[in-house]
Amino acid sequence: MLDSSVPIAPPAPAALQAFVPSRRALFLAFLQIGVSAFGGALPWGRRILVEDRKWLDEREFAEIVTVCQAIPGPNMVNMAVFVGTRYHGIFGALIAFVGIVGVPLVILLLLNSVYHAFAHVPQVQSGMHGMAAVATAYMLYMSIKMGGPFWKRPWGLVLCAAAAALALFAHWHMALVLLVCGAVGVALSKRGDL
Amino acid sequence: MKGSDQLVDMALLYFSLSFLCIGGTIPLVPDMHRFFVDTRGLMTTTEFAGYIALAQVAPGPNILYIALFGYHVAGIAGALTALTAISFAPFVMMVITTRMFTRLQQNPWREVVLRGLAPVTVGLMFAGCMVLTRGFADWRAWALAGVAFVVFMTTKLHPLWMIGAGAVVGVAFGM
Repeated sequence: MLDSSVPIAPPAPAALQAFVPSRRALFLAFLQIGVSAFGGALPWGRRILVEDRKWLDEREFAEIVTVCQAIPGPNMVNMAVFVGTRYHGIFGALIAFVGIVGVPLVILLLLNSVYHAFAHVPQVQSGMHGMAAVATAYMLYMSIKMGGPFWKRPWGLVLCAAAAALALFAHWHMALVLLVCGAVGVALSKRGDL
Repeated sequence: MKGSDQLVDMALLYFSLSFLCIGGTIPLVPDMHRFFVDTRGLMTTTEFAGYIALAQVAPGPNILYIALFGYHVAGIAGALTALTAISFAPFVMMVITTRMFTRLQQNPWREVVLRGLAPVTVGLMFAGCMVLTRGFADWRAWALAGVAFVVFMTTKLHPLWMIGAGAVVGVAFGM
């Protein structure tokens, strides 16, 4: 990205290799990402890991994100496991995972109990219905944004509709939809149709 | 006891789903809905959608609504079980991937597989959205969702503001 500040002297690769954040720093960095992440953690991950801490450069960050997308799981949690493993092995991965998930989990459970304490109030129910409607719209928006280049390919649209219909109307389980449609998708993509 | 049976079944559900959550967990929503609402009757569609909305207003990675489903079924133990089970496969696979990062970077199949899977994950996300609309009480919910969708598509407004506005609209119109 162009907006990142250019370092005065690029650090030598050897220096980059040698730098290892402490376990405490690792935990705190991912805790910070976790609590700042409202509606999508990735922009915050980039800001904290690339711009503030400079543990990764722009290119590295983008490449790790692509790998995280190919592995099951939410991208930013996967990124936490990646960075944690790289610096401190499996223990580091656990530290980073707890860092990004732990405090937000506590906040959410508190919010949930506040919500349930007032759930009998009609206005709270009304507000929840309004929030749910907007959250559904946001999910639809995210799925369209995620689509990428396949929107312009007729086979991409057919496959997308087929996967939705099989899950929704034929009540196929996820695994079967992913297996069948995924195999078709990979074959189409190999032929250059996606 | 019945409650502990639900806990074990939920753990198994999320353990198996954890292998499948490519592109995040939102494409898994239809499967979760079937388990919690259709098959087990543990919650209503409105509650189900409400938890997703609640997690949306709170900070953190977007798997935490899964912890809320778990909490609904079996309290803190349920929340931790659900979260651990859904994170199992991604965690193990990421640890392994990190160690062979460079080799994977150069594999030409990576791009092919990602491109091939994209329409499928998006299709499943659509299915998830359709499942959630079953909880819409009347046309006003549809109208609100429609307006919100247009705003998301045309502006860069932060989703948090929109969800807050949704709560205000819901109260104002007694939805």
